[in-house]
Amino acid sequence: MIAFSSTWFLDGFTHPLETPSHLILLVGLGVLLGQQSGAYFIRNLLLFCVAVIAGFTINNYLSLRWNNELILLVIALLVSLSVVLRLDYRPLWVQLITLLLCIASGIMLGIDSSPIVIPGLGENTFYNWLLGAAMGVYLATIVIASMSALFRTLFQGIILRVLGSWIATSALFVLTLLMVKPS
Amino acid sequence: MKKIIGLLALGSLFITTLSDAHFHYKINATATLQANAKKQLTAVKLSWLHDKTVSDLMIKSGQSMDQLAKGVAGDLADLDNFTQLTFNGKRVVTGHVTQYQLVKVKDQLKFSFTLPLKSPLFIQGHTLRIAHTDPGASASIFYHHANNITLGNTFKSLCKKHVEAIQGVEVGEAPETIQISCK
Repeated sequence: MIAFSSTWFLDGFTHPLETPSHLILLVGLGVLLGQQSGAYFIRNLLLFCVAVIAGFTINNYLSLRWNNELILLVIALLVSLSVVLRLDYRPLWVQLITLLLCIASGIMLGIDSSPIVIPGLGENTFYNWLLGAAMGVYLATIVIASMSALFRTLFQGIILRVLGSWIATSALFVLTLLMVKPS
Repeated sequence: MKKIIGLLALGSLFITTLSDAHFHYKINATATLQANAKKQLTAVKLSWLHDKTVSDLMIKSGQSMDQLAKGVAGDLADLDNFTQLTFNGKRVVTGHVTQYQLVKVKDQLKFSFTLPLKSPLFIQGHTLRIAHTDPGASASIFYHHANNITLGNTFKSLCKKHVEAIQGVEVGEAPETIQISCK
């Protein structure tokens, strides 16, 4: 029987916040969502949440041997560059790009979240950890997106664009470290 | 230039620290080779002493020792038994865990089980390697010393055992090389 376990919930909750590639992507995505107006914001956020669950499912059933960290950082870079460009989000093609970035981010964050399974405590660790990870991802995105929404029009959106450039730099910085890491 | 190198070093330190935030635990292992009358290897009997943290979590899960033992055996089956046997570089196919039991040793839990080979194997004149890896990258299994491997009467005079720690091992990789070379 599955019972709530704060140990595994918290371990899952802190996972996206303690993983540099996840954190950079979450901050970037939060700012990108915050740059958009109400209806787009909610639609993209909901799609992102569904994509995270889809990522968990893919990770559970398929043993993908991708370089997840590299893909996450490349997506983070694209997301942050979108923040810097601050495109008019009303044209269809811009909406489509944002939508794809949200879905790709959610799926990759889900795929890169491998839950802890301790033999004997299997189901309990697995589900509590996943629940914690999902909550961590959702809460971080919602908080960052809501804060960014407050600054959306401030100084004609310059603050968020500057933030976007810092996120792009961080993503490039970690990507560089990843590339120079001896194999 | 020095500042950039310093910054990169500091950054990599930060990433290493964060990567280690994932839940880890240690298992101290012993192994005994089992043979049939034809002097073929038939199974490896393993004994794993879990560290205090995980032992505590297992005990506090409220399950009886029998339930826990059954759960450990069941979960291990889904996790490739944390064990890969290779013979002359080729993977040895193993069956389901048998004769398992979980006992309390002071305040730690020891799980003992037999890992049978699908078909008996002549190891004379060749090398058998044992690697223990957790796909979830939480457990690290150590022998520490070759004395923790028992060759048994059949292989005692024929084989030499060797345990060596692997330097710079990544999370989720086997921390030691376990080699049994037979003449």
